[in-house]
Amino acid sequence: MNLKLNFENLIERLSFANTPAYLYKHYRQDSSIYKLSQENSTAELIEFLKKALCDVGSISELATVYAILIALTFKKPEEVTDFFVALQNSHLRWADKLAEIYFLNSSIKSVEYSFDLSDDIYTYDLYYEQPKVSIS
Amino acid sequence: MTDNYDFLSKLIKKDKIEITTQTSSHSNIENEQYVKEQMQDALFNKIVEDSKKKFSGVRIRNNPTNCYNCHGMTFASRRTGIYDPSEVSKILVEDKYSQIAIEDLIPGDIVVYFATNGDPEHSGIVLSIEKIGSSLVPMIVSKWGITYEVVHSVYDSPYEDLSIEYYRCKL
Repeated sequence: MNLKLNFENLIERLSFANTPAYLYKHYRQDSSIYKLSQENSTAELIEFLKKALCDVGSISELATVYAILIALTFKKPEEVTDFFVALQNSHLRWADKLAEIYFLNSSIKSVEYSFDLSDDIYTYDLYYEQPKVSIS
Repeated sequence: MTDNYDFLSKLIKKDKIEITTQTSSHSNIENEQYVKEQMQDALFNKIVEDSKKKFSGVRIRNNPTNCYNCHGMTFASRRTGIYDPSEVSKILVEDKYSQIAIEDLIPGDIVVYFATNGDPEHSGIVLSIEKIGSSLVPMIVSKWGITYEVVHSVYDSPYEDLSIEYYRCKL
């Protein structure tokens, strides 16, 4: 697996991170992670993560895992909510806190209702949005 | 979505333990002590070396360790890491830390760097206060993530764009 990530910045941020919040904030601002999220589907990112988790022996490999996790935060909530719920129970370092931050930063953007009066069926969808980041 | 995310727990071995740490009011402090060896590699070593040049005015006190973080150094005697911002806020209240002005600083006071959302992102211990021109510049010791402890000016660190506040324990 050869992901195009800005490893120098990612490892520097991971090395100096005292809290998961610091890591989350700076990884969300990294353009290579944003690009990773835009160029790959949620399913592809999950597959990358599975492969990356098989071998987390160095800080570069840990940075890769976190980069994929943060790339997933840019995906639509309906695609990743279950994933972040599961992440809360993972043994991965800071996984529970990162999932917590993800949910804290998610806010309901809009609610869409659709009604089928003939069958008395109605559904609704909630749309969430993470804070915008500017990529230069 | 019916995906199975079992791999998240199956592929990862637990590498952290929690030790018993409490505030003076006997509230438990959530902490994580990593037991795995420091995960250094060539790029990590390069970044450590580069940071010594980038922050050239600093003095490094020890070798990199991931046993504790900055808050673990400041509030838990280097025994473990404190990673949850709310735990730091709890310590500040329950251990009766009072905010003080830079003019009133003395060695042994602490510094906390707050993010815009109010989370304490970094902390350290004041060693001395230097006067440079008309400005007071506190020198502190703090732990930089999983790297080393550093003696540095409060303004010279990787923790930029944060609000700096000073506290004294008044137990």
